[in-house]
Amino acid sequence: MNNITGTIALLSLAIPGFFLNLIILGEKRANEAAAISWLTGSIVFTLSIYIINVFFGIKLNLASALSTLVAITGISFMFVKRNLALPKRWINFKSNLPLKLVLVAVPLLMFITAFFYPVADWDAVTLFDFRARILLNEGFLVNKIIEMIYGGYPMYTSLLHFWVYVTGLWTPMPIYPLFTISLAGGIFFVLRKFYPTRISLLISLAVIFAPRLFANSFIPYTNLPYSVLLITGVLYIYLWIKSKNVPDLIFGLLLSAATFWVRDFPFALVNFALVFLAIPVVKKYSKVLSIAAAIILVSIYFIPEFHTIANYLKYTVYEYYSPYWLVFSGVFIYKLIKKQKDWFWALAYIGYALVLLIGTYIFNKSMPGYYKAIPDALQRMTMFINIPIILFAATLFLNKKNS
Amino acid sequence: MSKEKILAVLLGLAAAASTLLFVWLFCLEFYNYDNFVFSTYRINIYKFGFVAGIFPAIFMFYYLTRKKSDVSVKILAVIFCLVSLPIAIQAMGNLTARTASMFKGKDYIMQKSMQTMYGGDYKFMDFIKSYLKEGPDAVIMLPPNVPPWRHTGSTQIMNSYLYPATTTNSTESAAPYILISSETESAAYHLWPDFKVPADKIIIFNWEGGAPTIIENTDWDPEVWQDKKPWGLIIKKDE
Repeated sequence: MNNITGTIALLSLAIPGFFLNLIILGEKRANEAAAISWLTGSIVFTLSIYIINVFFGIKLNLASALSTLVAITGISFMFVKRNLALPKRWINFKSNLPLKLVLVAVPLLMFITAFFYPVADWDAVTLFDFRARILLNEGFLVNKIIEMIYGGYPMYTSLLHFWVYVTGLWTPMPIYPLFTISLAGGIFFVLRKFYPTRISLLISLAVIFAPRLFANSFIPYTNLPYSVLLITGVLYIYLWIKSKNVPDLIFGLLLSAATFWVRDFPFALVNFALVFLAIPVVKKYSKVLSIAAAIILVSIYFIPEFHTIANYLKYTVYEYYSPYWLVFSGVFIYKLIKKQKDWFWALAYIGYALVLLIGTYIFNKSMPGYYKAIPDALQRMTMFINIPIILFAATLFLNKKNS
Repeated sequence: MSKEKILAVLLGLAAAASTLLFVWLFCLEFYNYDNFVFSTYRINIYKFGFVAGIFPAIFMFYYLTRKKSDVSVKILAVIFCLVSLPIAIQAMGNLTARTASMFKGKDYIMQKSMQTMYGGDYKFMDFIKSYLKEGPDAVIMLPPNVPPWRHTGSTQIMNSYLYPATTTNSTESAAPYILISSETESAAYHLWPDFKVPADKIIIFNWEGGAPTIIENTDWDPEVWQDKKPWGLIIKKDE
């Protein structure tokens, strides 16, 4: 086992992911299925080895993990219909070549350079990566690991670290750029259904270069995987609302639910709630709902019980990410004036803000004042919060029927 | 060449120059150490990073005006340049520095990463690890988890570094190893252990990189070592 086998093993998680995506999305959507194949593959694989270890008592080692990968690949392949329609051209390389080169070269360089870096960030060294090293040694979720799980840190990234170690890779760092690549690919292929290719590429770039996201491609924490799952989840729910294609809803809900396998943050509840926008009455009043939600959010700031927390979040999160909230406000007002109908991303943004506020309030009840000591963790946790703004602003490019 | 074309070329050149300048500054920052650019050139690239987007924003606005684009498209393009472009430029600087570091090799990056995370303490921890016997039986008593022993007193850090050995802060423990620490992180010097220990071996770490000093069959007495500010390991006598 060496770095080459480890790299192949890491990338091979995309194979069952591809088949699973095809099963859910349908055989005609091979490019989308490929774009986020590694993401879904990694989720299903880590969940599977967790289940065989915890519920069936099978020791985790190279043989058992590899057998599990082969099994889920085989089973998922059996369910793929044989009329798979691979696209003749995955991407048309003739148009927008410079932009596409950036979109391919940047993630590729991120991935390659990651092979030279060790795990050197506190939470990873003492928790996420440490659990993988214990598991590598013990083969079971021994007490030492279980104590760490119940701190609100599921095993997802630790099991990915375990997989690369057991297959011979010296560092788990190349895992993390793969999340950014999945996000960029997922967003590009979904948005291409609504926008011209050039606009979709620009939006994908704007998403990759949202604050903190790119930098976290080199940090072995759970915040990036969490953000990627949450955003791809909500994106497919958005797609379902637009297309009424049930597999999109299933996929969106599954990706949103998968966030709980990464961290125990409650933001996916907003994704679930956004499903109600498919109800005609709710959709009809989505503008009114957005205005009402914005008024509620602003009003909470002035309620004495919430003021300290709201004020802290204002300067720690929203002012830190300036001028994104200003862009949101500008687009919000512009869409009101233009009487546009698509308020999905506005509700997503405000929904996440409300959950952040309520979540911090509840967290403060259990650990009074502690949230003030971890501004950096708060900013990392909310790194996804600017992406709905980018997608909200992007709706200005939609045609009149959809905007 | 018409005045308009000259203006377009000048704006384009200014945009390219400001982009390259900031990519270079961010590359220097990531290639060397945090705050390198400010400490060397007195330029706060994080605070003034948005400057990098100004010329591209003007250029984009000018370009779109000539193409008679919709006003919302113009505004969004300018916002994109001012908001996303500085982060993209920072990312390009980061990536350039990572690529340049890659050519220096894994060992160079490894040493730099460890230095960034642990300071010089990682060399001491490597030394400790080399003297512990293999397996979970190796229990090592650490100083209390309070300043001045911020690194050496942390069971979280030491457990993960010294794994599969385990660590404890309890002075009641029958741990066969005791860490000697003169760490002075955020507080005044306080030698650990500050009590006498019957020792089989006292191994003193050499920060200059030479061979450690090994003293056999002499008990640890903090008063003897107080002024020497030692770092090392005590292997206790079998009881």
